[in-house]
Amino acid sequence: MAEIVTPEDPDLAVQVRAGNRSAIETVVETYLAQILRAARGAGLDPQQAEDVTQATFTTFIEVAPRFEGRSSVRTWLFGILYKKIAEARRARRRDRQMDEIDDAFERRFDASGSWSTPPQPVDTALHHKEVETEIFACLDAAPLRQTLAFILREVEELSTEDICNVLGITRTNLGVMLHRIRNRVRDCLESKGVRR
Amino acid sequence: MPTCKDVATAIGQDDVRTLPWWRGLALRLHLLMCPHCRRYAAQIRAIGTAARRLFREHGEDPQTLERLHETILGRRD
Repeated sequence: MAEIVTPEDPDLAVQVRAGNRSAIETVVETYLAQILRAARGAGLDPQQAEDVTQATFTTFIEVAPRFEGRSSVRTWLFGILYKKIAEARRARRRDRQMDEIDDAFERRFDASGSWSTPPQPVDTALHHKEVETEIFACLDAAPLRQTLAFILREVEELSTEDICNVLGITRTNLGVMLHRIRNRVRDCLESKGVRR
Repeated sequence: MPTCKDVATAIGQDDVRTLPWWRGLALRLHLLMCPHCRRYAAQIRAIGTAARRLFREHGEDPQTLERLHETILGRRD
């Protein structure tokens, strides 16, 4: 009988590549909820999120023998997920070079770089259903890579390097995306008057 | 001394930890003196915390997870 492989196993990648059933089960059991959560967070409805999650793991199992182990299994899985979500959302909207949130950010400062419209108090305590709904709506309305960058950073707490690998972007790009999505959510909450 | 815009940009882009020490120091001094930037920084942090709690506490529907688990692993039998 094969040994049980745990998520901490340093040989996990090797075992996955070898098609070890226990290793693959470990990966599915460890990351299933995280992948489904990220798919929901990226604005897919429950059915789409379930389909995309299933497709992610099916692809993972199919391509496991070709896994080169240059990234962690988790980074690799999120990379597959990103491609699947992008396919599901392809027609919806594109990431833009220029983004209206940049103008909104610029307008808050005067020529000397001081706040001309200082940030208003925003209630982010989140015991309010309203705030919750706003955050979901705002993430849903944002370009996909910004939303995923935000979820991978804030919810899944991946390293900068891992997020850049998953999304295929540079560190500078990641900084710009995080800045945009955070200002989007912040502006959203502020404009809805979700104040303390 | 960095401007408010410099400080807000560095905070939004997660640059704070990777700044050279003297720029990090200037940024912290600015934050000490500027209530607007302090509020901005606190809000950006709070949004991250809120999102983390939101996604984690909600959890995913156990039935969906079970169904997925069966579909995915069942295929290999």
